[in-house]
Parts: sequence; structure tokens; C-alpha cells
Amino acid sequence: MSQPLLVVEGLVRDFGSFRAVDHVDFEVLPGTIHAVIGPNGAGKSTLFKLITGSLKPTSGHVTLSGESIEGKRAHAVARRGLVQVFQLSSVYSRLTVAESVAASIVSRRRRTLDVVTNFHRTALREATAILDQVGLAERASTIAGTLSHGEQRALEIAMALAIEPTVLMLDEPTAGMSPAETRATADLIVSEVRGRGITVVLSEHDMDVVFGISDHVTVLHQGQVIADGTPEAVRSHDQVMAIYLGHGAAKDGGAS
Amino acid sequence: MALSMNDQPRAALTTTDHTAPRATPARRALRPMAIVVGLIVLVVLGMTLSPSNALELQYATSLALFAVATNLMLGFGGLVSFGQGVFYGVGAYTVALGWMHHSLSFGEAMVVAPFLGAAIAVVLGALALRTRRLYFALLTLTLSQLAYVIAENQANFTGGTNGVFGSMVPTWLLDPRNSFLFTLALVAVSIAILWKVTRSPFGLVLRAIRDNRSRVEALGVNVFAHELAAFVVSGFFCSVAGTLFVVYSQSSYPELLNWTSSGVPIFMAVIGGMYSFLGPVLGAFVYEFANHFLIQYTQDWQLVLGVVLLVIVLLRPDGLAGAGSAVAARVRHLRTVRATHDERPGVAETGEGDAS
Amino acid sequence: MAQFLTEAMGTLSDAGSLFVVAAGLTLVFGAMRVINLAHGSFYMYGAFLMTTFVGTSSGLRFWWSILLAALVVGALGLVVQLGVVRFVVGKEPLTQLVATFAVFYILADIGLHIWGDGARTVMAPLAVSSSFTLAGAYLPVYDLVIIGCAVLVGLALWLVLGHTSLGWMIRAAVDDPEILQSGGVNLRRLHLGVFTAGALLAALAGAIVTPQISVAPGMDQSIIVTSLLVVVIGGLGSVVGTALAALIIGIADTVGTLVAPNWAATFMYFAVILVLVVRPWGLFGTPER
Ligand SMILES: Nc1ncnc2c1ncn2[C@@H]1O[C@H](COP(=O)(O)OP(=O)(O)OP(=O)(O)O)[C@@H](O)[C@H]1O
Ligand SMILES: [Mg+2]
Repeated sequence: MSQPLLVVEGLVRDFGSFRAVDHVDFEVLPGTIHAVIGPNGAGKSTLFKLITGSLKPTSGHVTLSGESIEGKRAHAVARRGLVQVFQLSSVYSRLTVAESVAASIVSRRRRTLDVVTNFHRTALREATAILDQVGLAERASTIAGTLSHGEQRALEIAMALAIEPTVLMLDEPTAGMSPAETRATADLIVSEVRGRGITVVLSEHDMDVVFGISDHVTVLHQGQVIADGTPEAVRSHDQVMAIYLGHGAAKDGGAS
Repeated sequence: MALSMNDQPRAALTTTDHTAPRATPARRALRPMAIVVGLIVLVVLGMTLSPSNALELQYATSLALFAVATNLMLGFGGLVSFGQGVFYGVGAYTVALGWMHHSLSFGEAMVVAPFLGAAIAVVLGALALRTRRLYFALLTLTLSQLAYVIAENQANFTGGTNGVFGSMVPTWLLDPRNSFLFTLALVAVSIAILWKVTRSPFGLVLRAIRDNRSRVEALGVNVFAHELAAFVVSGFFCSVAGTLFVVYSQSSYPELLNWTSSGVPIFMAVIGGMYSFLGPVLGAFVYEFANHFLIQYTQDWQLVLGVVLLVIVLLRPDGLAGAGSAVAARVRHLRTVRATHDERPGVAETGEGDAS
Repeated sequence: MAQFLTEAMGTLSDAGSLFVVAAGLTLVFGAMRVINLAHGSFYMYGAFLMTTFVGTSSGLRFWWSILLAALVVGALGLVVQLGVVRFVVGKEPLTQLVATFAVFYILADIGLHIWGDGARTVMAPLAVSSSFTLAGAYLPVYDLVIIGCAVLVGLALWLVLGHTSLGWMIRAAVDDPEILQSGGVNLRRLHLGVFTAGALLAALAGAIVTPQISVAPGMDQSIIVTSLLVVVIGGLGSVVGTALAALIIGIADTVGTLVAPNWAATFMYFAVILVLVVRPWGLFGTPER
């Protein structure tokens, strides 16, 4: 069995007296799609932010390829190859779609202070190739702020791919999408993200997506891990069934 | 002032529809051609207008550089600096004081001024960019006023309230035509360099910072360094514009530095359209000629300016250029609705947003 | 000692009038997140209206004129809020600054039409235009009037903002507008009230300083800069910070005049830079997002 790429150990985060993430442990194997599920408010988004460095953990450890990354700032974590796509998208409002992706490419190549060369063109061309893969090639010269919700989510993924991450964290990539858009996004994650050898950690409310594409599932409830294993094992887990049936929320899939 | 998503007609217009034949070779050649034609028209006007109008044209041309340089911060960086008058004044005073104190020849001063402006921009930028948004605007405003107060009070060195005036430019530049051509050449070269800067990876990242600062930060980019770089480049070219004020007026005085002067290039950019590279040029010409001609008929220039600014900022925040391209897009849209979609342009070449 | 008293009194009186203007500016910012560049115009209108109302008379009419000038400018503030400012609440700083800058130009132009471009003066009533002696120093009584007025304004703001439900609403107007509105508060009317009060304070300061200055066009432009210095040092939106900052500016100015007359005018700017290097959001301000 291969070494885990990402290891989370005893991660805790308190908001005042409220414990949003409570001693969470799990491991992510390279090249897999690892889903984190749980009802609204379970702590998924908080957990993601702790891992990516946009929130500081109260205690616990996060290790990426053997290197400790907990408490590091988001951009330092991003440079080590772990990149997040946020639940609420926030694309560049006045850049075009191609430029938005090119901005990621330019910064990955550390060419952001370049005012002399034509690297700008190279980056735009490279961006177009990535956009082609996420199905946005037609929209390359559209202003990003005017895209539909589903398109903005696809653009978010394209911008993340442009950084060439080793681990991509997707917080509810299909939130607010139509069933068709949801299916397209799931296909995209399998073919374009994992297909490039990128390890995926995603949170998701749509159980068809979760059980359709993931290799491993971790179930979070009130900040704690209550189940962890293959999709089949988790699906037949009693407590998981109880929570989901109790909430009747197995397929709400809405933005929260 | 982001485009709102449910504002359907506007969104459709400002969006570059991929079916629109925007990137056809003919159309792409149109822009440089328009610029060449514009330059030729300017030269011809400068050579044929009455001396007083030609001088006015020369002044407007130099202000166009001031506005474009300021707009590097405003429209591209999203940084509202009410302190660009400092650099304009530094440019003017470098020439004027170099002459007054017999320390710099005109030619030397023209070279030194922009670098002095840039050096001062490093210091002021490092200070002002510690703050953000509104605080940045207010802090740059006070720095502008500080420069003004210094220029006014250090009379021994600066000539005080009256400033400096006299024959500080070489005799060949006293000829109106030479003076106009000199100004036009310097402005054209400067604006071309600024164009190159905005079209570079740096320009792209600067606009990305404007749109979503924390996102660019998360990419590992040192946002402060980029904003400072924009401030310095802007300061450099604002100083060039300031030297041209001396070529125009053979004088320099404290009011060039104060906060209302710093407001002028912002107004030009807002009037012309700050999300378009050449919008501020349009704004500068409109502003200066409106000022020049209105003052002959009425004393109420401030009133007119105030009302125009209000109308633009409340109703058309992307300025005249924005209004113009909306009209153009509508015409194009109507045309393509009828035309068949027989052509698909290369995507990479059309992938550019604002600032055309 | 005598010289110290004279300087201290002058400084306090300058700081006092400055506090009253700047308090109006910061009050508006606190409730609406708008910096009004036309705030100095209200100050200038207060002063010019004072010259109109007092005319050449002296005596009681002086005090009525202050009140009347403040009220008229308050009404002007109402018009500016309804006509311009309410459209820029919540907009980008650039939009707000350009819009209020435009109002500044418009009011400056109208002011020129009404009062011309000459300087005017106003005489204080005899009762307060004398001096009194304290420890060998001759001190103007009118300084006490200004200081008293500033203290009253400060107390009133402290009471209203800190100890009434109106004050709570003004403070909540920026942080939780939804809660306010769901509680039945009309936010637009609240803004209108606050903006009018801000204009009124500016005019009050402008009117009350008239015996000590010459009233002329351009005073709008210089007072707005000084008030901005004050609110930036104090921290935008903080009345306590404004009071402290007005004192700092007053002291910087006085010390500057004594130490290096040539550089006096720059001292207050260096005070601002010094404070902002240490605390970029002012003494009592909160960082912007
Ligand atoms: N900044 C914060 N301050 C206080 N409480 C917070 C904060 N962020 C999250 N919480 C709380 O932590 C809990 C977990 O929130 P989180 O957003 O992580 O849940 P989630 O699993 O992502 O839910 P959803 O499915 O709705 O996205 C919630 O009860 C939330 O109210
Ligand atoms: Mg969430």
C-alpha cells in the first residue's frame, strides 16, 4: 500500500465555546478521490479551511507529503501544491475567463512582475487549452463576472488546475447546479482532475456524486468523524444511515 | 462597480460574444490604424490651429499622459490615489528649480525628473500602501497637501506662493510648433510604454488584484510589491507629464501639488472611462477643452464640472468609453443577429477583457 | 508661564472648533461609511451665512445668527443627502469621493455667486470680545466660548451615541443594518438625520469661529483637509478619537509655530504620518477588510 499524501491528525477548531471541528483524523491516498460528507453544519467547510491554511486550527496536525503544513498561511500551502476551490465562488469580476486562468499560470511561473516579455500571450494560450478541458473554451473572452453560476464553478476548477496542484480541495463543487451541470462536473473531476493524477478531496451533498466517483468516504457529524471507509462500507454504516434518514437530507444538494 | 449578473442587456453588451467578428484580421488592424490616424490628426491640428488653440491642444495632450498614468493605479490597480499631483508637481518643479538654482540644464532636468518622481513614489507608496481603500485615498490626499504646504512655505528654495516662472525652456521650444511636437512625441512614447505595461503579465496580475485581492494573495503573490510597483511606474510618468507643464507654461507653482490638482487626473479618467486604456485620454481632451471654452463664456466652470461628474459617476461609472463601447457592441450585436455564424475566431487572441 | 497659558488657550480653542467640524465628518462616516469631501463647504457656508445674518450689528443678534446659520446649513445638508449622498451609500470609495467632490465644486461655485470672492469679517459681541488676565497672561474671552461650545458638543455626542437607543441605532447602522431594519428602523431616515446633523455641526463650527478669522472662499478647501487629518488620526468613525486627534493637531500646529515657523504648517502632516506608521487605521479606528 502506498504512503498517504495528506494526513490529518487530531484536528480541532473552536469558535468561542463552540467546537466546529472535533479531533478529526483521516488519511488521503495519492491519486484518489476522497469525499468528506455530513449534514449541514457538520464542519466540512471549516475542516477544509483548516487544511488549506485559511483558518488556524486550535490544535492538531496536518501533513502534506511528510511535511507539516498546519498553521501555514494559505499561499504558503498553495505553493506546496495543496489548492482549494471555495464553496462560494469569487471569480475576478472584470477579467475575461481566459485572463482569469492566465493569472494563475503567470503566478505559478513567478512571472508576475514581468513587464517586458510576451509571456502574457503564452499564458493566455495555455489558459485556452485548460479551458477547453473544462468545457469553457467557448467562453474564453467572456467577462468572468457575467458567467452563469455553473460556469463560474467550472472556471474555479480551471483556475485551480492552472496552478498544477498535487491535491485539489473542492468544497461542494456542485452546489446550486442543475442535474445536468452536476453530472458534467462529476465527469470533469474524474477525467480532468484525477485523470491528471491530481488527488482530490471534496465535500458534497449529492450522494449520487459521492458514491459514483469517490474511492474513499469520511463522514463528519457535529465536527466528529463517525465513519470512514470505502463507499460500500460507509453506505451500510448504521449511524450514517440514521443521520441521513433522520435529516432526510441525502439529496438536498443546495448551497448552504 | 462590477457588472451585475441579472442586468441582462448590459451583461450581453459588455460581454464579448464569441460569434462577434471581433478578432478578424481586418478588425484587429483597425485599432492601430485608428491610433495612427488620431496621431496624424493631432499633428495636423497642432500645425494649423491658431497659436492659442494649438497651445491648448498641447496642454490637453500633456494632461492625457497625466490621466493615463494615474489610471494605471485607478482603473487597473483599483487604487484611488488622491496624491498624483505630488509627482506632477515634482516633475514641474525639477525643471523650474533646476533652472532657478542654475543646478540642472533643461535636458538634465527632463531626465532627472521622472526618476526623482519614481524615487519619491517608492517612499510615499511604501507608506500609503500600508493602508487600504478609503484610508489609502485619504492618506494620499494628505500627502499631496503636505507637498503643497512645503512648496508654499520653503520660499527660499521654491519661490513660495508665487512659484517659479521665467525662460526655463530652451529657445527652440518657445516656438509653438516645436513645443507641440515635442510634447506629442514624449506623450506618445510614454503612453506606448504604459500600454505595454498594462498588456504584460504584471498588468494582468494588477487587474486581478483589483478584482479580487485575497484570491491573488492566495496564489502566493506579494500583492504589496505589485501595488508599489504600480505606484512607482505611475509616479514616474506623472512626473513626465509635470515636466511638460513647464514646457507649456514656463512656470511651476504650489497649486500643482495640492489635493484638488490631484483630483484632476481622476476626474479625467472617470469622465473618459477608467476601465479602458485610452478612456483617460478622451477624458483629458474633453475636460481641458470644455474648461478652456466654457471659461470664455461663463464663470461657472466648477458648477458644470460638478454636475458632469455627478451625472457620470452616478449613471455611467465606466465613463464615455464605456458608453461608446456599449453603443458599438449593440450595433455589432444587431449586425451579427442577422449574419450567419460562418466564422469562428481564434480564442486565444480574443481572450482579453477590459482596457481596450 | 504667561506665554504657556496664552499658547495653551489658543491651542485649545483651535482644537475645539476643529473637533466640532471633524465630529460631523466622523459621525457621518460612522453611520453611513461615506467620507463627505463637501463637509468643508458646510463649514464655509456656516461662516458666510454668519456674515450675512450678523451684518454690521452687534449684541444678541450674534448668537441668534449662529443658530440660524447652523439650521440653514442643516437644511442644505438635507438636500445634499437626498440629491446625491444617498445614492452613493454602500458604493466604492471612488464613487463616494468623486460624487462628494462634485458637490464641493457645485457649492463652491454657488457660494461665489452669493457672497462674491472678497473676504468678510464678523465682530463678536462686546461682552465676549474682551480679554481677562490669569497669572499675568491676557486671554481672550472668546476662546472660552469656543472651548465651551466644543465641550458641549462632545458631551452631547457622548450622551446620545453612548447612552440612548438612537446612538445604538447609529452605531448599528453599519454593522447590522438588517437587524435594524427588521426591528422597524427606517435606515434612510436615519441616514438623513445623521447627515443633517453632520452638516449642522460643520456650520456651527464655521459660524462660531467667524470673529477670529477672515471669511473667504477657499476656506472650504483648507478646512476639509485639516478635518480629514483629524479623523484619519483619530480613526474613522470614532468620536473619542476625533477629540484626541483634534488636540494632537492643535498641539502640533502650536509647537510647530514656536519651534520652526518655516515648517509650522507641515507639523500636523507629520503627526498624521507618525500615527499611521504605528497604527494604519488611526488611534481608535478598526482595520478595513
Ligand atoms: N467563523 C465562524 N464563527 C463561528 N462559527 C462558525 C464559523 N464558521 C463556521 N461556524 C460554525 O461551525 C459549524 C460548521 O460550519 P461549516 O461551514 O464548517 O459546516 P459545513 O459542514 O460546511 O456545512 P454546509 O454543508 O452547510 O456547508 C456551523 O455550526 C457554523 O455555524
Ligand atoms: Mg460548507
